[in-house]
Amino acid sequence: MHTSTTVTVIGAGQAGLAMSRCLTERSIDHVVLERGEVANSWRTERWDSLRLLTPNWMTRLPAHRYEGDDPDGYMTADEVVAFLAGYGEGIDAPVRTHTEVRSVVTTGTGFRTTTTTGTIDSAAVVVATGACSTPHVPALADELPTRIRQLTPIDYRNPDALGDGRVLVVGASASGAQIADELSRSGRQVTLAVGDHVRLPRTYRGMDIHWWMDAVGILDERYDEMEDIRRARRLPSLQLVGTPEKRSLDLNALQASGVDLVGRFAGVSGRTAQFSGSFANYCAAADLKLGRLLDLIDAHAAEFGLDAWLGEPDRPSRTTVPVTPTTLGLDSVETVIWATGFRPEYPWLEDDLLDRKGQIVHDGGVMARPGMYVLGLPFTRRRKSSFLDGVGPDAHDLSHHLALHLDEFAAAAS
Amino acid sequence: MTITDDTNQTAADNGVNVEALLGAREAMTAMPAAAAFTFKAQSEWVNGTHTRTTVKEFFGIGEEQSHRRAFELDTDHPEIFASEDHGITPPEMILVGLAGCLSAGIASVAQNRGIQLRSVTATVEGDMDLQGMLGIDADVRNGFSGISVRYDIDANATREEIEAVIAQSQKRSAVFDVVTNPTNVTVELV
Amino acid sequence: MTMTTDTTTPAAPAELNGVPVEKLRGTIAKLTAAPELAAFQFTARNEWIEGTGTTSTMHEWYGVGTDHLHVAEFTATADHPTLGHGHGPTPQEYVLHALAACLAAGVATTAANRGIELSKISTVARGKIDVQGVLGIDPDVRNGFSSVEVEVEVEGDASREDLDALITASAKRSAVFDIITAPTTVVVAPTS
Repeated sequence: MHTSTTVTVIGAGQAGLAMSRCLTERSIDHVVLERGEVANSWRTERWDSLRLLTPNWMTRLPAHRYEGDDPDGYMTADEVVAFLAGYGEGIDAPVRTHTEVRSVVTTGTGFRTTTTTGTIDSAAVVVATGACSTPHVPALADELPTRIRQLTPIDYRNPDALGDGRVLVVGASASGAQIADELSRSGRQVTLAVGDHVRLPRTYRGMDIHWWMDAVGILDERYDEMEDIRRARRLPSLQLVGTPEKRSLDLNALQASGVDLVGRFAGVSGRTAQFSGSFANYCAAADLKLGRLLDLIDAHAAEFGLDAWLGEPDRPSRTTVPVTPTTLGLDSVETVIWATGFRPEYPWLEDDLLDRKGQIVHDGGVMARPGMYVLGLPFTRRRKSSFLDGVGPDAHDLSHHLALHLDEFAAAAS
Repeated sequence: MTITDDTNQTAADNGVNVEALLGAREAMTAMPAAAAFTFKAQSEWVNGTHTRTTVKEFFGIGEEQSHRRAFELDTDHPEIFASEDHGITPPEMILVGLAGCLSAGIASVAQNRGIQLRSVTATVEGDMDLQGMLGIDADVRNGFSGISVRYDIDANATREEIEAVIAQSQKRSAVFDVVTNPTNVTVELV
Repeated sequence: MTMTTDTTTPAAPAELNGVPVEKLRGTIAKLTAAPELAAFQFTARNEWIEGTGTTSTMHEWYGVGTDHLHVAEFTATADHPTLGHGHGPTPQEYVLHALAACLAAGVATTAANRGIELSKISTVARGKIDVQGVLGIDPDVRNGFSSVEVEVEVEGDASREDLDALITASAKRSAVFDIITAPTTVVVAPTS
């Protein structure tokens, strides 16, 4: 099947749908290609107990926001699927499901996208495949005994799916911390390998930490205002969990849950796993960063006269740094879960669009080739770019840029 | 999260050649092969546990390089080890390397952040159970069971700012990395 | 410095290769009998000079249940080429020196223990490092050495096989070899 349209949007998650809505508002013809069903990764690549880290009131997409009766709660993966599926229908997004992209090639008149169901010619392409498409598993994985079962957060579902033996969770970001916590509560022995992490309390002075980050303006920080945008884009995900009890999930809480902490997983020597001796440094760095954020929040509260109705500054105590062993016998480990982040791969994009690490080269979402855009990656244009709440403003900005490009393109062609 | 940049903007001079640093960074970002360095130490056994090492040449930025002059370092063991104490022990030499690397990093990071250092003193302590090295107990490792570094820093900065400089220095320290993480070493008879 | 229990090892002389073997065995026996005496602590006090230059002083150390002093206050100065002022070798080169020296000392001692007389031990330790790590250019590159190669030239009254065995034994018991090849915990903090 061959189609011609103005814009090809790849991916029907929140990024692709938000862009679709913006294009519709501008009367720009487009198609949205989705390899599975709408909100595919939320359907198939999330564990059972997962909830969003952001409170429901922060679920704001172009022309649609959360209107349920639990604004301060946290949506489950199923609820996110229902929300996005409803959104897609509500905005009449022209989605083609079960359509996988094989290649996007530059042509004289724009782009040709080849899919499993045919080709599409368009003047512009928007890549909205998300930040979490491919887990990044370190080469160390190859050195583990084949007896050990290895998973990533994408294939983990619940504790019952694992054996009863010790689990080594690698990485103390949101996924790693949540999974380690859940497994420990299920009665299993859990070791969590901790490297770089971002520590946050769930609430501060009575308000959700995301409310604060929104109020203080951190989430709206722009990519071109950052001193080191590459570093900002690589920041590990926040060590948070969304639960009705609004509890914090930091290393102190994990230790209280019975999780054994060790440093970064650094090597395998024979049948021994080796962990870095730099654990204390990562904890110190995370505590300092947290302190700076809370200072910012307190300064904001004072400046805007909020102190009167806020609670007292209830600063979390410093991370308790136990003496962590630098080795662990692998004979005692049954499962390893790699919560070591994601690194999307783009074998379907032309090489010159990617950097040395295979990541898309872009300036605030505007790719190296005129007419190509990317949306939904960490800090694409704003700190909140990869969050449910953040993709909307980016879609507005980039659809504007895209519209201008189309005008120029049309003018040049005439 | 950005480091809050409300430190005074007056330039700090801790003696770090920042231009050279930034120049090197730029050149190596453009040509990663230039970043491949090899450092070398050439050692001659003197007697007993006394060794003398010369450090002069190294390789980097695509060619052989040389320190301004040759440096000679001695190591030995104290008398309780039945030695003559001509020099510090090799494990103490590791502590020298660690302190030197972290402190150099502190000077660089501080300068980058506009913090003027007045004095920086580090006390580095490494604990070692000799049952390992002496082959008495196979469950005890040969090297340090742990190392602690205590910094006494006098600078025009708050305690948090100083702690942040110390934390960042570890993040970028070659010797801190070599000590805290496993590194492959091959030893061959020639 | 392994204590071989091989009965075919010739009785070592009181001193060989400059290593007082008798005295060393005496120390080992003492520590075997009272393991708590084996707890040692080494200390380096480091003062910043300027830029990336610092000097460490090594004088006091703790072991065998009490404090000791080296026969002299030893100092060692480190710096960086280009970025620094040429005060001394880089900290990484100190690590290589420590490794070379530790292995050489071990070879001399093991040889003495085994009754092998040596005339030469020359060691070259090379450490490869991709500075994109320390310069913060590439986060996937580690800060320190990606690998270290040590070449040892040994001359003595023994077969090449026996000399090779000395090197293997030395690495096996080397404190610095262990510190580099295995992770070691380091805690850095300001004084309160």
